Amino acid sequence: MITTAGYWLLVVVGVPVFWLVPGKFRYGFLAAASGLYLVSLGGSAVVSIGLLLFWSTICYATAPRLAAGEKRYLLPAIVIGVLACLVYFKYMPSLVQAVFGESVMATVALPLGISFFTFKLIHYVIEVKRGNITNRSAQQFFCYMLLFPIFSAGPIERFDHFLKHQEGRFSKAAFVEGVTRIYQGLIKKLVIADMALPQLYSVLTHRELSAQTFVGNLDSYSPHGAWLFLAMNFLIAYLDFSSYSDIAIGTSRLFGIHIMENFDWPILATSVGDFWKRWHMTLAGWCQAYLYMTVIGLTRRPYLAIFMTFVAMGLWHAGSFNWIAWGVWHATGVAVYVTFLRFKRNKTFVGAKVAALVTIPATFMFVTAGSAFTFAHPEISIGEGFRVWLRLFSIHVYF
Amino acid sequence: MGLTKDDLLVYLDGELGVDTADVNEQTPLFSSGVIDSFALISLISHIESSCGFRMSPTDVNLDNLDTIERMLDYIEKTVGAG
Repeated sequence: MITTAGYWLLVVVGVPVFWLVPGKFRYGFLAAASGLYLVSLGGSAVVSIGLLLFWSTICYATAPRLAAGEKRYLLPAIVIGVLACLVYFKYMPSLVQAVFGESVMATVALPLGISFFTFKLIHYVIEVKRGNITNRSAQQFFCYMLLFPIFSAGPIERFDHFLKHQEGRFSKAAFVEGVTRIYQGLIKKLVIADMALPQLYSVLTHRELSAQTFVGNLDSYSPHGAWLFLAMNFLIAYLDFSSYSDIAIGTSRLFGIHIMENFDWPILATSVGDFWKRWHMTLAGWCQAYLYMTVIGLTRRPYLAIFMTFVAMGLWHAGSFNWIAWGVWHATGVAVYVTFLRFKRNKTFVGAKVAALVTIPATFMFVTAGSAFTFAHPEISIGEGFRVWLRLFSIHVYF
Repeated sequence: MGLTKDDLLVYLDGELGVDTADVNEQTPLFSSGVIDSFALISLISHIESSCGFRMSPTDVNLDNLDTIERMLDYIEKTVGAG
């Protein structure tokens, strides 16, 4: 969305108007402006807004009954309905195509931002039911659901956080902070991720940083060449994704809203457990709260909860075997790490700073290896993903 | 039947190997990594056996279990409702 002129036009015009509008109408204005901008994108965004308004209205209208504990089936019915919508649009087209080949179903476009607003809706109804959300302002709720900077790529904001982190009046400090954050995001994306790193890779290897070239000529890459290629891709993906978060957080800041942070230097993580406290933090937090804890509550089996959570996280990214393999890889890493911690308990083998010299690169390599399945998704199949992954360990396989 | 703050601290220290010197009623336990999932499940079992009820799967969440204060609130609410 940041590549559309409308986004920046809305920022330039919307911010001053937002602060000029009387306080009690501000969030209604921002909700309406966000909605109109999203509709102006056309195509899948229109379907998206239709779905979002439909489900948001249901969630908002049933909130008092949910909070009062009426109709025990209400919460599961809404959660299943919202998830069914996500499954229909996100997974059915590829499933139908895999089973029946080309069909009309296979051409159904994925509504913009559906993965994000589905999780926001589920969060809302569960927290209303638990009694943690008591605010019933329609303006606030629809602004939260439609807020254009975070609509298509997150962060997955929590409604209670959204309500608590708003400023009542314009502040120069917040404005400067917002503009700086947007500027940092743009530098990260346009200069470092899109230009500097691919150029650096070309200088170092005399090859183009192209997934197609890499997969097509995999045998000509040594294992360390494959590691370097994937590491560079992972770094670029990190900078790219975190730059979108920076721009979303910075833009929201111009409207006086502090959005939750999404990244905290994941490339410096000292373990895979630590990585998941630093990478896509709002998704990890959502999954811990509503998926991991639910499986723990139902089964009391931590390993099962870890695997189910990571596979679901993989499927949240895309309905493909590549992302399932990515989920299994991370789940295995976390399960091994948790087991190691239980064995280790309070024992320390070396100092934390010395250990970090090993654990930071080791964690980075682990995460890089996991990206072998997904770095060029959907262009590469699961078989090609495995070929790349095995190449890291000097194993040649032909499918 | 019920549990007190001291009962929970003794369990955390004796059974789960948590250094409770810096743990107070508001210290986040699970979300901050003081205890892991396995310890959380042991803690749930301890609460259930000591208080005489079984936690509903929907009650297993950090709102009810992340701090000693939240656990005590949850126990009081649940025992009171039962």
